[in-house]
Amino acid sequence: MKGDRAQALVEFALVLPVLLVLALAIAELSELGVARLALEHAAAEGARAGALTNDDRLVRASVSAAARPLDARKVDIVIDPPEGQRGSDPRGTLLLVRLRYAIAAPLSFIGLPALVVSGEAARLMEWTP
Amino acid sequence: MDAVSGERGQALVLAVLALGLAAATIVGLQAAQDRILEDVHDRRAGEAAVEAAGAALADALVERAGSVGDAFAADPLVVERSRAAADRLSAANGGGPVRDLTITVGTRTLEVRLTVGAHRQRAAVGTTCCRR
Repeated sequence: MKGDRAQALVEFALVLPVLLVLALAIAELSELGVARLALEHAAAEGARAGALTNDDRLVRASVSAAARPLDARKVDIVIDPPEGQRGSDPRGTLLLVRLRYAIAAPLSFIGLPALVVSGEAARLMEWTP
Repeated sequence: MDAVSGERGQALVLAVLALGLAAATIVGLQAAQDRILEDVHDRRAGEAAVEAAGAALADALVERAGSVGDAFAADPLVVERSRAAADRLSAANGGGPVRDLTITVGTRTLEVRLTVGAHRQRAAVGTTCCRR
């Protein structure tokens, strides 16, 4: 009888860290899902803006506006080909917009690397000079 | 075994159940996310594809600079050009193959419809705008 005292407490203490890690994993997975969706949306909006305007500044502005709820300043934007390399009449050129976003891992203080999410979209240039 | 010692491990059993539930939640959440993202991909790919098909139609319209009738919409060259542009853009956006591409002639528009994944897309090109 005496040996059974606090049995449940000990068992719970053993399992609690694992449960906490799983709870964190669920929260992190949800955050990753939101980020993936936001990046897909932002990349599509950016590519569309680029296809219609041939202006990389507007591509970046569209991405920043569409990337919410992510921190737009942390979104890494690659436009391929960049504005200077698209020629004077780029109509019909394939424009790619690639986005990357790093999410800090919940246990980053113990050295876990940030999780990187990416999104990509392509459009044909419709802009004519 | 008496009644008291039989209670040993009850918390452990509950904890294991909770762990199983959490693990199933993670796997389910991941699967649901993948399905949603695949659907979003198809939708975006379809949008890009139908716009590319519309642009190809507009280019063909400018080149012909003539009457836009049923013959234009049924011209295999025009249809294939639209389909090629749509396929290219769908693939570039990670979408599946373009299905059921149709071109119809309206009073002042050419309309192109196609399907990528589960999504039917539609785009219209004004025929008065694109003639030289």
